[in-house]
Amino acid sequence: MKARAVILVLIVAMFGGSWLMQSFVPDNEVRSYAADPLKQEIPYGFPPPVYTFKNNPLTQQGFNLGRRLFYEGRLSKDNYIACASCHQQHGAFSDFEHLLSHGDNNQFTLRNAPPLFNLAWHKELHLDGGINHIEVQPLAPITASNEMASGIDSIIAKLSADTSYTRMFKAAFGDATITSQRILKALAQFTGSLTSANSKYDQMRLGKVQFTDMEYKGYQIFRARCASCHTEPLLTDFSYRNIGLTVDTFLNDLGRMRITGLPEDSLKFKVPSLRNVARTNPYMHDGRYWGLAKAINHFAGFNAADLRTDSLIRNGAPLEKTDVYLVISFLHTLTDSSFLKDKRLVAPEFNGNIHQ
Amino acid sequence: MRPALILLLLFVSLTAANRLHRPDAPKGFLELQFHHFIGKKILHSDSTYLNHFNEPFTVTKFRYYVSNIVVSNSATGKQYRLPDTYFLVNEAEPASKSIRVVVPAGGYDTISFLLGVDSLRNTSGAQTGALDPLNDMFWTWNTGYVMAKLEGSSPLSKLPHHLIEYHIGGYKKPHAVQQLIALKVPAKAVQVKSSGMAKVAIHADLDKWFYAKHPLKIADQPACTTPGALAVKYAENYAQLFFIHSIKQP
Repeated sequence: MKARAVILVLIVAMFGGSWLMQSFVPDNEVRSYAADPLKQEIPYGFPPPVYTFKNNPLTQQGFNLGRRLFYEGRLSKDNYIACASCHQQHGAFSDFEHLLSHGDNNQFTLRNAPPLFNLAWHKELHLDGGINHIEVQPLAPITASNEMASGIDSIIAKLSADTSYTRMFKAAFGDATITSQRILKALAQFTGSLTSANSKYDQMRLGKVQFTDMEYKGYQIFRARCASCHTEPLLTDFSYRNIGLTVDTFLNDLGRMRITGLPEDSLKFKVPSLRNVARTNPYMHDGRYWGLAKAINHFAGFNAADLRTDSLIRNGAPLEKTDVYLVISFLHTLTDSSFLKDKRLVAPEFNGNIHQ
Repeated sequence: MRPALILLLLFVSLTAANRLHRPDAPKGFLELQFHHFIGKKILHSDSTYLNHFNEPFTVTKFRYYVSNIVVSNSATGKQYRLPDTYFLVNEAEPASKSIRVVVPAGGYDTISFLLGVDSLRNTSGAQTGALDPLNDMFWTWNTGYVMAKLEGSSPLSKLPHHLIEYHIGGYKKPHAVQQLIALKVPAKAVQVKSSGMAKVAIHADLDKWFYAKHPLKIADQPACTTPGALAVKYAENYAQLFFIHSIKQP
């Protein structure tokens, strides 16, 4: 039975192969036929991911290359600013304790660098949702003059001159050619694999641990008052909302409206996931609030006068002071320390050694 | 393995084999040659021209995507859709202005193409070839391809260096700018044969960029570099840029 099936498959391969090649246009990159496949991790209770690596088969070699590129300073004009410069593992890949990040020539970024995890579940990226696909996201920071200030052509030139890179491209893609598509697909193998789902909260959901009394009370308040936007289990509903933050007249960042051009999208930003939130201080799109208490107090003592503010906030009763502290104790259960210390995600030159 | 699965595999393999053994219809080469004009004058990057509104301007950069090419014959209803092909026509690169394709032999009186990149390829992640972001036709901050790009200068522009800069993009409704363009072959249909190359000269009159459907004076609009209602107006203008000037049979 098994042998017959194999023969049939071979027949299909022999006769169907050439025909299939004509009908489907492959995604151009040659794949390494010796690369070790990896399986995408889909945590318990998570919905199906948006990005499934369908046109970018996940392999150990592709992931390793993506990780090296993520930590590679030569992706920037001055050869020092890497993705990891503003997305550090101990800050859940946000820019630890920075309101705004530092780009080329001591410039500041427009926004607070968001943490990077569970990106395969994001339909759009960036706080304004301007990026429609995880693979093309790195082009934004790479080319922005106040971030990495570089260009794909110069990156290809730098990496092609380094045989340790051409070897890795060959291992991942089958030959040593370096293209923008391969750089971007390798980066997506790394960033798309940053999965954080092993916090105390996750373990509680699996029935492995119990919340303390305070954590539990905080969780109940959270579910009643916060979870309609910070939806479980990803702790965001991926929508764009105006939470009533006044515009900073220096940054003049109008958020989602910059992308859609629609006045009703003015000052809307993507609802961030609250996973690892205790590690992503300071808070809000421009990092204006230091400390969880400050951030939650924004919702606690809210001035509902501005009608453009999201109705869920305008119509909600303010949080009691004690509620704020109970919610904070819940938020601390969202820290996934195994993710923050995952050796697979560490800069390759540290060989998996982590110091914290 | 289940019998149903075996039957399915058998069916697929037989269908595939059948397709392989079917004698292939003869095919031939078709070349679409794009020529750029302003009015009746040939476009040169070092010359100054006057547009419909008598506004002087130069063109230093002119590029656009041609994709989803379809050749058809309105008399027989025969139609051939080129599979997944994308071309970047660039005034600065003469070779890019001739697009060679292989289509089934036969007569065609209509050539259609999408000026721009379809929404699917705008949302499918990292691309290569003509769609490589290296070609400087890709927006990094608001994902999507610039479908057509015209740059130059005009003394009427109040921008730095008197620049004029039109980067027309946006694939999402209501501000989608990709334009389906169907061009009629004048007089007799172009005959594609299995030997030789049939050539179709397509002329584009850039003057129409400024007025074909919507009057858009340089003095009022020296630039358009974001998706939106203005970009749609330029797109509706450039939809009328092209016509088939002549054909050349082998």
